Amino acid sequence: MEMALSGGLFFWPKEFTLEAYRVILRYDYLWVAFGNSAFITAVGTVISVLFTATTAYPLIKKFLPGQKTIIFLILFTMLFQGGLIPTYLVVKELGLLNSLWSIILPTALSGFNVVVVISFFRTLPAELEESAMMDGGNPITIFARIVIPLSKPVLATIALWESVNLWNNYIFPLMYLNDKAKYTLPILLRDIINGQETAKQTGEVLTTATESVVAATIVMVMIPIMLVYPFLQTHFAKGALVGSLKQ
Amino acid sequence: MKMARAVSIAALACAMVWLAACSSSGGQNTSGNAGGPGGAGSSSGTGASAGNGGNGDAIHYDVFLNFAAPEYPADGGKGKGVLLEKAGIQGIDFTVTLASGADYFTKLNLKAASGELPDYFSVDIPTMTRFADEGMIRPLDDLIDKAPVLKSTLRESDLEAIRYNGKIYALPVGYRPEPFNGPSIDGFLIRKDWLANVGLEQPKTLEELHEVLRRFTFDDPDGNGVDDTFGISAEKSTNQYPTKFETVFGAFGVIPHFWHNVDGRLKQGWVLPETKEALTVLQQWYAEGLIDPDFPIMERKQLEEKFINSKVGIITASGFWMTPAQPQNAAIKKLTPQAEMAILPPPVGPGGRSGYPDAGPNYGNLKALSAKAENPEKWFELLNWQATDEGQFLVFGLEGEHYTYDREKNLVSQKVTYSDLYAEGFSNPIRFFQVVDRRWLDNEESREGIMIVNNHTIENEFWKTVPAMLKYPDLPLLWSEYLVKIVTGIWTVDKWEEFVEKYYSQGGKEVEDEVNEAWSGQ
Repeated sequence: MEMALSGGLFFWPKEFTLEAYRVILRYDYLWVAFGNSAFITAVGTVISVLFTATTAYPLIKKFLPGQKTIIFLILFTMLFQGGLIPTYLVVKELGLLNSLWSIILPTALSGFNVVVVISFFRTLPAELEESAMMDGGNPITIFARIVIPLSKPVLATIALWESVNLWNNYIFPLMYLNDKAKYTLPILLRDIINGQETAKQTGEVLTTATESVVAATIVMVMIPIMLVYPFLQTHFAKGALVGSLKQ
Repeated sequence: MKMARAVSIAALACAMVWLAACSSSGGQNTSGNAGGPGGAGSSSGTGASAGNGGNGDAIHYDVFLNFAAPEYPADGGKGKGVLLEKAGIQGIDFTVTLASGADYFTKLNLKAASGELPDYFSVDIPTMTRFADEGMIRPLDDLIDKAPVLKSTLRESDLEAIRYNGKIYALPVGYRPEPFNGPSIDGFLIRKDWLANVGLEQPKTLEELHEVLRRFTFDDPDGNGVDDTFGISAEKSTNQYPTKFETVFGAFGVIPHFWHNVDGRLKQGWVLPETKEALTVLQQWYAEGLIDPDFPIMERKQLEEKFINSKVGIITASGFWMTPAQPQNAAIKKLTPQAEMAILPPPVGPGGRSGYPDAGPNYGNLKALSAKAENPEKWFELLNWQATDEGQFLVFGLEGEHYTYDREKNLVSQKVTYSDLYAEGFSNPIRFFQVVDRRWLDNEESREGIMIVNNHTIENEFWKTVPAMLKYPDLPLLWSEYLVKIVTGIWTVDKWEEFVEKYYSQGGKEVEDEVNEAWSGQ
């Protein structure tokens, strides 16, 4: 840790130490926060993808009454938001304060994602669905068995965006969660970093350099989402309709 | 046709937004009524007090502090019980919620806007004035008067600095009587071993300091055979601390960004002729190569690195550096085992004056009481107890278990880290009234260094912010620019007169008038 304070530029690390990690791992709440973040990310992503897909699908049907109006209203939310305090009041009145659902539900459906999925669904040939209908499929089976499997790439993209957003989400947990047991990783890590800075200023005795702890906390947050990334990444590359339809 | 449709869609959207707003405010009323007697159960405060069962009749205080302690337990842990028991005040209970940094204020504003203002919470000056204007917080004058121990630890100048509309709306920190517990900790930190290497005594005057700087720069004080050292360095200016090398200005009796009383009128130090004299000295030092040329762009971290790596002999730093347990101290000792440090008494200028800038009120640690807080006298009984000798020790935990106290040496030896204390619910998270207490400093030199700084300060006559300062926020930057360009010799010292002119014509006049008006009203 003395090396981190003396700074300078050198190619080879001067010494190896895990002291900074030991400092962070001492916080009991780290594992609670890990659990909360994992829950929010996993459940939030599933809900978000499900809602986005089920919202977008009917909206590509021209015969749906008020289809244009609904799309307009969705676009409207992309341009005009309620603002911080009104949103907070809504969350409060819904009784979601201090609940992990307050992070998941208010942003479950994003206007932008719906538009992306709609435009993807529009590229699916209507003939495909018609032939499925001929074979006796009802709209729900068509959606579940034909549309969803064909849309894996776009859904994976949405899932990736959402999961990164939820994992990194900082401002919502900050506003809505008061209880220590509900803290998520970004909030906790911010606290750890601020705590180190305060300790340094007030002359409290530290066992490691502030910069090392900051760097170690960043690594701790990054690792899980980095592990997920490559698996979703492969979906980006895949062609959308390969093998489903020959024209 | 298309146009008409777009309009009708827009109208529909507006109607929906309006409906949503209505139903939301309606919901607020009903839940407000329902939440009254039973407790809504949605906020952490009510949840925790309900959990305390037996203590059902206690007055519950919802405390929200700007502090980072990720270890602090949600239920208050052991510390909460110990505090309430030791203080011996019946019928009160509290929950502490923590947030830190700028986000604390985001959250505080949300709570205030949604009608959930905590009972006792950290504020800064702008928040304090805003909440006071809206009548959300309570003047504390009468309560402070009824808390004699607490009152005795407060500095009159701090109270003066935060007085708003003639009343005190927030509680600053208190100080223990020992001189090493004073508010200022930063002074000229010098490499004592370098002094010995070049065969000089600690400099007492500006001239002696000049000689020391010359030898530090040219006589290879670290003995590595390379000419790689500078006498003195500083970090870059910020809006809050626009002046560097304050102590050199202090040797002429001014601190450029402080307000000085000149024949009954307050003037900012940088318009006074003493500033020009100090600039002359600094320009000469720079021309001789004694000042590190990187100072106008230096970050704090870099500056500390330079000192740790034995590249500079003097920087402005805290007295904590001499304590072996401090990381900076360990870092220096690792690279240069024979390194010694000391805090210099401020060098005396030709006119016999000297001084470090007074640290001023600790704006980062003000606390306010909600106007709606129940039975505020009772809460102040607790704060008053925290100011007593016994109460102050709670920051270190429990005697024997977390620390030992050597009465003779007035020394607190801590057995556990703060992190462990926080995890058990002790120390800063429940330090509702803070009395600065550095009795843990086990290093005599550190104690002495901080004492030196506090015994030699130049006071600022006016700490408050007047509206004109917000209207002309760039004045400190103007000063920084002239300071850097004059010191580095790009401009001659006479350019200082141009600065004074510019300062007055670009809003300084208005600032000075407003400051004097506010000051004479005190």
